[in-house]
Amino acid sequence: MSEVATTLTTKQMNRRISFKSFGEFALRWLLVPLILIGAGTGFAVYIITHTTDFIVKDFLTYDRLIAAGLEHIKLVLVSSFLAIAFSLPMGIIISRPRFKRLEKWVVGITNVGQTVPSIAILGLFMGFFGLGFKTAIFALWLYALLPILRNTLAGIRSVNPGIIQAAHGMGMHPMRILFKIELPLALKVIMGGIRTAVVINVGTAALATFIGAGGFGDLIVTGLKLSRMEILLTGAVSTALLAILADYLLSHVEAKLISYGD
Amino acid sequence: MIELQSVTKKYPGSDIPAVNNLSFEIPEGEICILVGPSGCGKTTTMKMINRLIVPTSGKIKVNGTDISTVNPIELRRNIGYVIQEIGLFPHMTIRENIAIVPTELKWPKKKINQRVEELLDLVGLDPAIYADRYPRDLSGGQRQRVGVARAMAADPPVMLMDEPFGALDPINRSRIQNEFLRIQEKVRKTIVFVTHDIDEAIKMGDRIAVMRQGSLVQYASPGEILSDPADEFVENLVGKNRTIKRLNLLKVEEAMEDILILDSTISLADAASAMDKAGADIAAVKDSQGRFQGVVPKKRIRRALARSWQTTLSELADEPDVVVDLDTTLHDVLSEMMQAGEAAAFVVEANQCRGMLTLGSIVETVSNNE
Ligand SMILES: Nc1ncnc2c1ncn2[C@@H]1O[C@H](COP(=O)(O)OP(=O)(O)OP(=O)(O)O)[C@@H](O)[C@H]1O
Ligand SMILES: [Mg+2]
Repeated sequence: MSEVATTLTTKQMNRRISFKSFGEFALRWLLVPLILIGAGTGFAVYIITHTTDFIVKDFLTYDRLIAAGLEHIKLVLVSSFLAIAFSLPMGIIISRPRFKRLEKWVVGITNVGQTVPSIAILGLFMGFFGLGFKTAIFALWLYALLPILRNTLAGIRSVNPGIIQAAHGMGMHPMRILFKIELPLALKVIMGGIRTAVVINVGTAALATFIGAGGFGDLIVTGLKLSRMEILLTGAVSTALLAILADYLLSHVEAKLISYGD
Repeated sequence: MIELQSVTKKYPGSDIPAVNNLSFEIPEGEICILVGPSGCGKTTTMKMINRLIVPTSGKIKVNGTDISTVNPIELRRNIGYVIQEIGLFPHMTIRENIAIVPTELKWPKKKINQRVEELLDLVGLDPAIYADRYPRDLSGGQRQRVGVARAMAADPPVMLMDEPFGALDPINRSRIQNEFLRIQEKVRKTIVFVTHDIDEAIKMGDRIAVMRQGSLVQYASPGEILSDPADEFVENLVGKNRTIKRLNLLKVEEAMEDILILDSTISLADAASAMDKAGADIAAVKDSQGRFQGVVPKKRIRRALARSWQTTLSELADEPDVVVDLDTTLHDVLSEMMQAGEAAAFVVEANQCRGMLTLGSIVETVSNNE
């Protein structure tokens, strides 16, 4: 009797929790992002409607703002996605004992990408890819590689070797051990790397303007060139808010994926 | 059956073998305990049996097959493996943990769930409460039960257990040992069990393999190890109090005395005379359905009669302080008696009083078994 009662309450509790968490869901996933987007938009609208300066009026149009925002987001998304697509499998491969000797090379090369200043990379690779989107994507991709690779490796290596041996001892297939044990347990650290990479890329993407790839950097550079604080600030504030937004969303993806705690 | 034939393991970079020319056989359905000081090669020996470690030389056969000729993954799915503490996967529920091997074997989902619940029941955890919890929500003892359940999931004929009850306090440890022996009585698996603890070895083992620096020093039954240690090393391992250790080997059944059982409905005078006739100082009282109610000393009945109290046998009977099962070891009984400060223990199973133990009966049993 009491057992039945316990089970029931546990089930009800679960239901209540998931119901309650709908409110929480809206709060967590939507409220803060909406505030951030609202703040950015509000800022831009305020400047656009309150300026009397023709140069500012001419340059700072809604169309231009939206275009810059979309370009910026596209640069970050595409480059981050490509970086994950490279670094995650690469990290997994060099975490296998038999490919350990590749580690020095791969980490060394990605490290170079990280050390050379972004503006230099943009300049360097302009020679290969010309001006525009492709070069920017390449530079951002190169930047995002190391944090993701390093964290993938560290995450997988942080899994208790006893746990992995237990899995082997029970006759689990090595592939299944990777996907069911190692990666889930390493996920927190891996996600940390992805977060770092994306946030860095939001900032670095502001430089893409120098090779004509657009983004909020257009506003900042134009603002500087024309000595119009309003334009510069709009670009800078938007970039900053986008970085906060990205970090916020990714931290919640992370929390969602890792529900078991330690 | 498990056979080791001249098995040696040298780890790379080490001159001294971790396991040196080990040969012994574990008959089907028996528990073999590997015991010895830290670093003597127990874990290494065990891991060679499921090929987590490959021997440098020698041969290991499981149920007649040389294990070096079978696919290690296949082999391991037929050998249950219990590891100390860290064994459970922290990101999986208890259900998912237990279901690992059946899932690998591609059992249908329904069968897996049934099996998980059956196993949780077997190790004394209510599936409705525990199946969907995570390991961190369980106590150490509960986790070790899950570890045992998980190793038995696909009903492997052979089990390897590396200090499975190592992290437990003495009381829980003793309890889980008893439960495990009860389960083993039913399932009769061939078990290799590693422990540091000689008391545990004596209690759990059909055979004990005493190891020292990678070599086998003695391989014998617990009784033989106690009465006839092969050398000084084994003697020291067993310790000075070999007679006391023997208490781990003997069960309540062997030292139990009969007890007079009285119906709660008879008069006090009848009770007193029945006890006189039987020469009993204490008797058990059962109710009209035959259920055990308690015990009553003759003195108390006499006093009630002398003062002509208006009372019944049930009212005079007390719940005893020390109640044990038939298969409790004398070691555990004695320690409970000491703790309670009682000179007698009562054997109650399925609501029936089966008998009693006194210090005298225990001493006599031990000395007869020397
Ligand atoms: N992977 C390894 N590489 C090198 N030496 C090892 C390795 N594993 C164990 N050894 C050594 O082999 C010997 C036996 O180790 P093993 O783990 O089998 O001991 P054990 O009897 O299980 O000890 P404990 O009771 O402490 O668990 C020890 O000296 C140990 O240091
Ligand atoms: Mg060990």
